[in-house]
Amino acid sequence: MNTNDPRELLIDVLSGIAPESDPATVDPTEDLRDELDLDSMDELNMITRVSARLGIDIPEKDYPLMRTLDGAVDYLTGRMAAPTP
Amino acid sequence: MDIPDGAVDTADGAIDEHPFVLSPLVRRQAQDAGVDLTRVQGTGPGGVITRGDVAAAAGAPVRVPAAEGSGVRSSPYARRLAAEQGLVPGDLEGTGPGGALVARDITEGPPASVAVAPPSESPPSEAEAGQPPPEGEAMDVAATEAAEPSTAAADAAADRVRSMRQAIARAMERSNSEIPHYYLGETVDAEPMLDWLTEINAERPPAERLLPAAVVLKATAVALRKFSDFNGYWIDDGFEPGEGIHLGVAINLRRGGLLAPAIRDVDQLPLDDLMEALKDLVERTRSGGLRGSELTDPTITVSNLGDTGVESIHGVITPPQVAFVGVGRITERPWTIDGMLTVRRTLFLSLAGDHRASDGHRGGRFLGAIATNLGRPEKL
Repeated sequence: MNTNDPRELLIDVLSGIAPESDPATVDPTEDLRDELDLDSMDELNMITRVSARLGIDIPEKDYPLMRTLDGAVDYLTGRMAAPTP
Repeated sequence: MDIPDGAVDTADGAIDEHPFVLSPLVRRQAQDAGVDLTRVQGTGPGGVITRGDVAAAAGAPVRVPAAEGSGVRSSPYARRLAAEQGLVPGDLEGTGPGGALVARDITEGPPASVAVAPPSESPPSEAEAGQPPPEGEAMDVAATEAAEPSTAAADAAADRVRSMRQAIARAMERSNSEIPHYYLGETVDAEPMLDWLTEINAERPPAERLLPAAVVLKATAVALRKFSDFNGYWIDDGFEPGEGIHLGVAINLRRGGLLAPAIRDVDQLPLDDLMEALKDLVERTRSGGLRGSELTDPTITVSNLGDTGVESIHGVITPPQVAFVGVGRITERPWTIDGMLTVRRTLFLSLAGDHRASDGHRGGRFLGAIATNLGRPEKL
């Protein structure tokens, strides 16, 4: 899959990390870690993959901004508009 | 049974020959005593058969009688399976010792790939091995998670979750009935470790960042160099130190169940390598790519509930290991430093120890050594 739409990309990445859940059905305002039973390793994998696919660095201090699907979409949309942190 | 693509190559080495005997001494002892090792339930690490197991078996009838009327040697379990499926032992080809018929020779329908041993083919003694769960079942559970969703696959997955649950149940029952546990706990200031990680990770791309879990594992492994009496096995009424510090890392499977495969020689690994090993292990545990030996290697188990679990954990030791280190969620707490009240990020370290192998005083010092190591992560 090749998309630059942050929501589609996030759902795709999360489907790879938690294949037994359906990330498309998560509540986008709830903490992804609770919704998909993610641990810190899953979170790091998510950040790593999103970062690689979009070609942007996501500093550790920004992780909390990506804890919900809506939050992550907003964050990535902003970062893609202005690639330098 | 259906085995998803990918399970085959991932299960490389997953099947250990049964019976699982490490020591030539044990084999000789069994031979001298006329004990059929295929009928002995191992109580050593990962179900390994020990001298004590052979001695116990020697007291019981050990000869496998030939299946009635067939002239074919077979295990009782294999005979029962054959009977259940309406098969005649004489029509089947045995692959056990001396051509004996064993459970794996009796399959349902056309034989699938032999790379993964489904539970139905496992001899009962394997299912009762100490390590939860036996590797064949473990592989199946994880491999199935990666399979295309379908009703059949879902049913098979449910079956395997049940098998894993039963294997865990047996190991934990054995633990609680045999091991006199004692429990210790200590709240540790995690700021030095977390500050250090923040500094390191700020300069690294996500793919190279370290997690607290890697630091905790290293801190534990380094402490075990001095506290080697927590690293090993209780076998035959005595402690046998582990050959190397191989940490079993508890990893939950989302569909249910838990595995604790080993990272070997953790005390020797630079943190970056340890982090890579941990990532790789978690990924393979959940996708079904573990080697069987990884489940039998651990000399101690560490459970790190990380940042999403509960504050404290009081573990159950996996026999024949003698210790379990638990690491709770990182949590902010009021803390005093030099008489001043402040707020620090802390974590709760716990130890479940086997009182046959060690005492609480020694356990407390072991936990203290881990805490000290966490306080100076740059030295790990």
